[in-house]
Parts: sequence; structure tokens; C-alpha cells
Amino acid sequence: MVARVCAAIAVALTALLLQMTLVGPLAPWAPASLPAVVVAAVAITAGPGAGMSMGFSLGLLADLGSAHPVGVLALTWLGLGALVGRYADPRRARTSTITLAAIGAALAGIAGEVLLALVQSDAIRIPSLPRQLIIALVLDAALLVLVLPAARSILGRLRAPTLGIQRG
Amino acid sequence: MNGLSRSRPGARTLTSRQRRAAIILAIVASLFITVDVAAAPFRDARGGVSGVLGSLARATDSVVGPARRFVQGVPDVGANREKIATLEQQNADLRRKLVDQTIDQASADQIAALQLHADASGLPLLPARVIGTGPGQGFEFTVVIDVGAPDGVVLGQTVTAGAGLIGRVVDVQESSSTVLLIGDADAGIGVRNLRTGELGVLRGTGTGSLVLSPLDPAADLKAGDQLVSGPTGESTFVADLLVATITAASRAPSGAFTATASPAASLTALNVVGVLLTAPPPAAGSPIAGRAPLQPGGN
Repeated sequence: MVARVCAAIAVALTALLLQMTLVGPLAPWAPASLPAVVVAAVAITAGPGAGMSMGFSLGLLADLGSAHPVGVLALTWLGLGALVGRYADPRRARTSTITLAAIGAALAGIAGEVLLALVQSDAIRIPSLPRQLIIALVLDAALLVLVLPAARSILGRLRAPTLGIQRG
Repeated sequence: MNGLSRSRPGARTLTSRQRRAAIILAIVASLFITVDVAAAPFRDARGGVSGVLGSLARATDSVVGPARRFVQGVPDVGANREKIATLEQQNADLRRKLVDQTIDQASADQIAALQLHADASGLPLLPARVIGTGPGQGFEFTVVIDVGAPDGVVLGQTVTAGAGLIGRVVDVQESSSTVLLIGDADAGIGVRNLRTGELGVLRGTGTGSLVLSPLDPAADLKAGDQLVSGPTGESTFVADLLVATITAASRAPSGAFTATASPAASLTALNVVGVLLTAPPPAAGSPIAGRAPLQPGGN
């Protein structure tokens, strides 16, 4: 349990720092989000419960380090973890799993932006949303190709031996 | 597996416990949003997290920064065709060295431009290096710079990138600060048209272009008009700094003019920037280090 929590903290910080120093500066106007992709990868690999936990925690941390109201990313990525964990089955073909998760991450970005606009009483820039969605979809899918194997490897090492018995 | 059940192949169902947890966490997040918008009680927590993330980002930047700057420098190298033609005739080692030299030269040019600008405005200027974007990138357009309160940075100070104004400081920590770029959808800046003297408000769109709304709906706007920061005393920004150039003007059915503009300094290729060390905006009890409230259209 302690090892899982430590691993989750390490993964969350790594995702945020790489977003700040690498992904963000290299794609400044593109809505690519490594933390959202990490949440989706954890949800695919470990299920909706772990996805929700990672989504809420990572979102709250990102909110506290940002300038927008606290809770926006926590709520958005909570939903991302729950929905991707629910619908992206790891037993499916890798391509369809990644596509589904990338759609989830891209839609989470749009949902977050709409939520932020509503909270701050800003106008929602509807004409730019489809373009943003497509760019986010492509970039998030590319990031997922890299992140998903890493998530499977880390979570596979942390999973306790079950001797063939699985609960619930 | 992991406390979840499967109702049919290809889908996993949340257990009742997970559904309850999801509902509770969603309510908690909604409460956080409501409370933060109403009373901003998370200032200390934000300061702590921003400080830790800023320090860690500095350390991370020392590792990934060179690789990132190399990738960011590639377009500049591609733009200089003559130099590339020369480079192509040299061996791979020499080419790598010349690329590094090009990147260093770009930084030196930016510092020289900053100094020139500081001399012209008569204000002390603090050079800073961009070490990353904000963690909420995609929702807001901020950059993190490697100078903080001990260097003289305070909330609200204007930040330039040599060619023009790029934003203002919205968060100050010990070793880093956050700059809200003028391209952010929440950013707004009072500007003056250099050709006509007309005033207006320039707002970000979150997509790289800016939108100008003149105070006089019938104001004369033309492509190529230069916009400078608004009159002294009417803006939190330092006055008379070049902000943007109008790229297209259009007239709404109501007869009002609006225009799109491109920033004077590229907001997507920031490396070395300068913080104009002015006094903080006249707000009683302004903290030296901390976070400024984001005000929509905070011009």
C-alpha cells in the first residue's frame, strides 16, 4: 500500500514537471496534457477506482499550482479517470484502447475549458473547440503510446501476487 | 480485479463503493471551485504548491532544458538558409556545434534587445529565463521564470521579451515566478493605437491571436497599426511598450470595429525575458510574495 502511494506521488510529480518543462513549452498553444494522459493510462491499467483517485489527486495538485480556481482540473480529471476506467478495457486491441482513452483525455480538456469559462463568466469560444479537440486527440494519442506501456510496467510491478485468486 | 466487476466483455462497472466515492469527490471538487471563486481561501496552499513545483521545475529544467531548447531552436536554424547551406558542407560534429552556437546567439540577441528596451524605458530590468509553462497549461497560458521575490519581483510587474510586452507577474515565490501571458483568454490590456491615438482593450483568445475592442466603436483601425500599452495610471502595465500589431480589421453588422492582432513578441518561443522592476500596483496591503487574483480582463 505504501509503495503504491509513493509510486502515485512520484508519477504525479513527474507528470506535472514534465508538462511544465517539456510538453507545455514544446506545444505552447496545443491543448496536450501529459497529466491527463497519465490519468487515462492509470485508469486503463488499474480500473476506474485507481483512475478516479489519480485524477482527483493530480488535478488538485495542478489546480493549486495554477492560477485558475481550485477544483476545476480535479473535477475534470476525476471524470476522466472514471469514464476511461469504465469503458477502455485493457483486454481490447491496443489501438482501440488508446483511441478511446485519447478521446476521453481530449474531451476532458474541452470539458475543463467549458467549466472554467462558466466559473469565470467568460464567453466559450465554440468555433475553436473542434480544432482544439482534433489537435488534443492526436497529441494525447501520441503521448498515450509512450505512457501506457510505462503505466502497465509500473503498476504490474506494484500489483501484489494473488496466487491466481482475484477478489470481487 | 481491483474491486471492480464486469457486466459484459469490454466494459468494467464501478462498484457501489466506487460510485459513492466518485459522487463525494465530485461534490468536494465543486465545493472547492465555489469557495475559491467566492473567497479565495487557498492562497497559502497555492503558495506552498507553487513554490515546491517552481523549485522542482528549476531542477527539472536543468536536466531537460538543453534538449528542449535544442528542439525549440531547430526552426530558427531552418530559417537561416544561407547558414544551413554552409553547414551542410561540414561534418556532423561541426554542424552540432553550430546549432548550439545559433541557440546561444539567439539568447544573446534577446538579452541585448531586453537591455536596449530597458535603457529606452528608463526602468531597471531583471533578465529571467523561462523554465516552463504552468501545470494547468491548456486551460491557461502562463510561463514560469527563474527569478523570485529575493530578486525584486513583485506581483503585477510587467514582463517583456525584447520586442514587446508579453504579460504580467501573477505569482511570486522564493525561486520562481509565474507570468500570465497576454494571449491567455483571461488576459486583457489597455492599449493605444500609435497611428490614431485611439484607446482600446486587447484581449487574448487562448489560441495565439489577440482581439482588439476599441473604446470608440467607430474608431479607425487598419492592418499594420501598432498598439502600445495604455496611458500611465490607467493600466497595471508599464505604459508605451509595444504590445501587438493589427493583422486584420473588420466591421460588425452593428457598425462597430474590431480587429485581430498578433503579439509583438512571439509568445510561443520564449526563452529569455525581462521583468520591469516597477513599484507594485497601488493596492493597499499588496503582498511581496504570493499570488494575485486573476481578474478577467485585468487591464
